[in-house]
Amino acid sequence: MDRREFLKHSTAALAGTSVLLSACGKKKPSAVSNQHSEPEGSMTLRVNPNTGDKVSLLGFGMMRLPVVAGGTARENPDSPIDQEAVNAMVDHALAHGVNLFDTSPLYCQGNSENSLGIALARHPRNTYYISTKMSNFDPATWSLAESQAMFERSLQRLQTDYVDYLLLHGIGMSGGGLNAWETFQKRYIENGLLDWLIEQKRKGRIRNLGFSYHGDQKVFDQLLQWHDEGNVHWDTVLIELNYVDWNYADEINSRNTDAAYLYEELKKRTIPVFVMEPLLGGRLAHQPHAIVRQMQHLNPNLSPAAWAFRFAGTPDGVLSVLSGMTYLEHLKENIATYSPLRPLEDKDWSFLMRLADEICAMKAIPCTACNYCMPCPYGLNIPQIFNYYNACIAEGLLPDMTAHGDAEFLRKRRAFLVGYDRTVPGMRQADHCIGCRRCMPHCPQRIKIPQEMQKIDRLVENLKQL
Amino acid sequence: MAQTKIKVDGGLAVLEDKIAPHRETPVTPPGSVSAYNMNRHCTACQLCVSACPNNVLRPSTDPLRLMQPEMSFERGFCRPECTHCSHVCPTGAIQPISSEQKTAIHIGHAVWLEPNCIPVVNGDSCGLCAKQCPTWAIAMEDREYNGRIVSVPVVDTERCIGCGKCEHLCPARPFSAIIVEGNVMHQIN
Repeated sequence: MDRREFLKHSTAALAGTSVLLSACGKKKPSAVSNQHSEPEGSMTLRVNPNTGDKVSLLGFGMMRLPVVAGGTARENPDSPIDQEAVNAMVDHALAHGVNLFDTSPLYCQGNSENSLGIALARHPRNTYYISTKMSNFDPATWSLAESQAMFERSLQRLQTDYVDYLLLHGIGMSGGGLNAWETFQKRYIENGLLDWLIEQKRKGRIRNLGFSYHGDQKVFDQLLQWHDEGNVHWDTVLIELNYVDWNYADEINSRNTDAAYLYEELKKRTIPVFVMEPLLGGRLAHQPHAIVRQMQHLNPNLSPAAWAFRFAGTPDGVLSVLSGMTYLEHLKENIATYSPLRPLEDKDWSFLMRLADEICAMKAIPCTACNYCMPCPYGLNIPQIFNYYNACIAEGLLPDMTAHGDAEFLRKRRAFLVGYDRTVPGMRQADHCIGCRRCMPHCPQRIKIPQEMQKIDRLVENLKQL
Repeated sequence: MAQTKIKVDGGLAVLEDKIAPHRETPVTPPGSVSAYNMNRHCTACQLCVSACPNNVLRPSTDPLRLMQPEMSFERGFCRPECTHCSHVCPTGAIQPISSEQKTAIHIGHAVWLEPNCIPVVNGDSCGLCAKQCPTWAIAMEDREYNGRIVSVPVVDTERCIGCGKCEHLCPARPFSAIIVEGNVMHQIN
């Protein structure tokens, strides 16, 4: 066989192999994973009745951005935001039809807007919508001048001269020792800020004006009454909506309001709804084994997160579901879930309502790890402690004190205590809570943080002394 | 970037490391009976120091007790269920005890240091020492400081066993507002 003949034969052989290989690809044993691959269709869009904007059902929340040291600022609070990763995710989101980006001057220790601005400035301004917030929680920012400066700073950091959505942040929460209504008055009415914002909307610097809502139902009802009376027009309202909060928000915490009520009131007035916490701070994505098995039994291809997103997207008054995503994999999965959305059927809806019963009965602490309570002046890592406790509940690893002595209990006791020390450094654990209550007004979930800390510490102490 | 400093989400408070206070009488572990017994029998072998899981025991730097163990509570406290040091001592300087016996051995007593106490300093309500005391030896009493009424600790030294939990958990840093003074002879009751 001379050289030329050899080449001819080997090329033919190679071609044959590649044909064989490609044939393999089409048949079953596949070497290529199809998990979170390119979405089947295109992103579901919903129309904003006020402006005619076509908004993607998935909105990218910029509250849980990745940091250079790995994870989010929750795990590595001193590490800067990983801008490369943010750019990559924003690019991927835009390329797959996600066109709404939601941030706040407070997120990621105040660095979120800046990071989003950098990522978005690389794309034409008319290809996306920006939503940010008037986050004047701190009494030091209650004056008109300070609040105005906050808004101007937002525009500057976002590298734009208008925002598409501006939300009054955390309405219904109380601050500075006042109740929720008084706080609202101080933040937006007495200083003339709301009027100023309405003026900015007339000037086109704000395209839609709305509010994000946590907690006190009286304030919510009052604001909607103003809307009915024509005093102010709310273009959108951001509410917490997921299958647990739909009917159980007030069972979990009597000072919260069921999502079903909030949604119906907004729908009646055709105010488009933004959804936050579709996964309850990730808790609905990491579910106990027993619950995951029920979901898999019904549909082996849907993850717990996909179930939760389908739930949040199903009500047609929902304009966009905002999800704070840290990892590209989560973004891809969520895009796939909404490309397009397959709305829940009635039987699926009632299945999730049944699961909500079970989840509620587990008595987890309703922390969504938003980190608004942080930093605790006495050094505790509040969300990390709650997160660890909840994870143990969800996995059925919480030792049952009534069964103490048996082998199973001893195993769980050891695992719980060792895990606690590994997860939360000693000087940031629950036993250091002095009960100063400074954290409480910052918690959108209205958790009685000092009481929960005492409860966890008592458990730890009892376990240690056995 | 020029901006006013406002509260944002996240972050962890910087925690200054605690510094050991000066103690009139050193605190020695339960089972060591008295400072005299410890001083006489201890060979400074460091077995107890290396066995202490709570980071409480350390070798003394006092020339008269050089390298003999003493207790301090910056990194932990003498946990009620732990009797490790008493079981590793080869010389009888720390005699073996059970955790039940330990509950009745008063190795020291808590002393309140008013100028460090958080409610006195900034008015935050605290009472962590009283809430956490395993023998309920600390109670909170209302007192007036700088025109405001705040709750500050009072110690029932008869109940206090000197475990150091209050000193360890006290939020005042670097010097705790409540510290343990040793008893020259451990009191048993």
